[in-house]
Amino acid sequence: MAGRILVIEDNPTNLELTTYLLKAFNYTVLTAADGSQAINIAGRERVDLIICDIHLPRMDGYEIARRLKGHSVLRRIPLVAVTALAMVGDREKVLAAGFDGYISKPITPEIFIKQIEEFLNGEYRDGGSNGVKQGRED
Amino acid sequence: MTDIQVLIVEDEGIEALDIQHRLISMGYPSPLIAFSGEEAMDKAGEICPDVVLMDIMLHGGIDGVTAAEELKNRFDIPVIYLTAYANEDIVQRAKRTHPYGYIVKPFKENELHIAIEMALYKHAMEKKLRESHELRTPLNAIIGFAGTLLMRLPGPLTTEQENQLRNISVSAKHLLLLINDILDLAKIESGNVELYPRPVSCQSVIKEITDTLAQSAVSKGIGLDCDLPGRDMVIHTDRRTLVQILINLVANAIKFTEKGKVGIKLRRYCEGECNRYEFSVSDTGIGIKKEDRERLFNAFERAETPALYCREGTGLGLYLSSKLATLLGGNIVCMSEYGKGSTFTLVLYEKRKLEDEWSNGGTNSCY
Repeated sequence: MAGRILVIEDNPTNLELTTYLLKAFNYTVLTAADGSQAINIAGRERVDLIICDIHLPRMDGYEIARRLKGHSVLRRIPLVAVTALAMVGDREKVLAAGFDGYISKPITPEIFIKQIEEFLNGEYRDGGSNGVKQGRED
Repeated sequence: MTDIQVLIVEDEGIEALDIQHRLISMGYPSPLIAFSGEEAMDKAGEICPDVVLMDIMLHGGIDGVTAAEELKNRFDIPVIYLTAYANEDIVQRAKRTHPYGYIVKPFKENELHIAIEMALYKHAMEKKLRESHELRTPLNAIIGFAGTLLMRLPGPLTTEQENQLRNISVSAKHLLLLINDILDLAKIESGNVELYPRPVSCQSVIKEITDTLAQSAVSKGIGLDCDLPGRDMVIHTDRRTLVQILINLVANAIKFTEKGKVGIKLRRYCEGECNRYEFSVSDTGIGIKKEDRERLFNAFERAETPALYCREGTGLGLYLSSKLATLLGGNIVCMSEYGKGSTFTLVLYEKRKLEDEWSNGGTNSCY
């Protein structure tokens, strides 16, 4: 099932990777390099899923989550953190900030699309032991 | 001489002025004074000092330890405690706030100067550590694009190209493990791990672990068995840390076992006022010699193992796991017979609640 995915990422190489992978699986990709740009796009266009980095210039991922999840309409768009924060305790912090899911960087391209699709299909709401997908696989 | 802004928090006026005077004579520009914990919060918010000297025995509303905790959490400002005398209770509480240093009054200028410099250094290192996840960012592109090529998304590959891409991918993933372990270790050793204790279902934790590692056991042709009590057990702990310890132990067991099986066993015992939880991971692998067992939990040490096993891992796994177990108030015990296999047991304790007694009919039933 293809859909429209907004990717918020400030590192151009990593943005290229995510975009390439999603497009290869027929998704329409919208991109933003920072939070305010992303919120503008989400308010203006149809977006089925948002993939968001945590460390971003000016407005970080936590603040983006706060704003999106505080918005009456945008809060319904599944919001997934894809982040290099993968140390002990980071996953809980990300989920506590309002993200619907957490995928650690480096991503595993072979399973990335499958991970994304679970959020697009809303499976994360009742899947898993605590309702969220698990983080770093180590 | 320096532009370091110091905030002195001291409720004895004369003492505060004396410290301020001495700081100025040492070259610190216009140190500020707060006479209470509350005032310290306000001033910290206004002027963002680089370092705070905190009288540990503040009188009135907020005491020194509480104020130090707040300053660290809200403003990320390093605090050095000033003590003349302090009771054991305060010392214990202060220890838990991971102070950046302490000075016993009366002190010499030189001691104060060293304490301030050391605190600033430690604080700067911690900041660096927080940014160190950037080490992983380039690996995202390396592992990611090697992956898209191996998935043949851009087009077909020759056998030679595929082999070389696999080498890139495997090496990058190994580097990632090394970086993860070292970052985790640095975080644990600097006392920066935040735990989120809540009720955790032991069964669901073990299911998560077997789901994650089943494939690696299957691919080596060994079994992965669970021996769990019929009734779910709930322990109050940090789930993520518990999972990380058990994943380390089970992955290790699989790695060092060529045939047979790896077993995970869960038991709960009643011990005085506590419940003792034992998560045992047994294998039928190569085992560990007695002389190696003592060094097992040291950082970067490995038992003498055949070269086959030396390619992977960092030698940090067990050291990290035992550090994490300590954070959860438990420990890891190792039993092994060389040539036959090993059992690693994570032991956690939990103070028993009254309801447990009731639900057990008041007896010390264990299962």
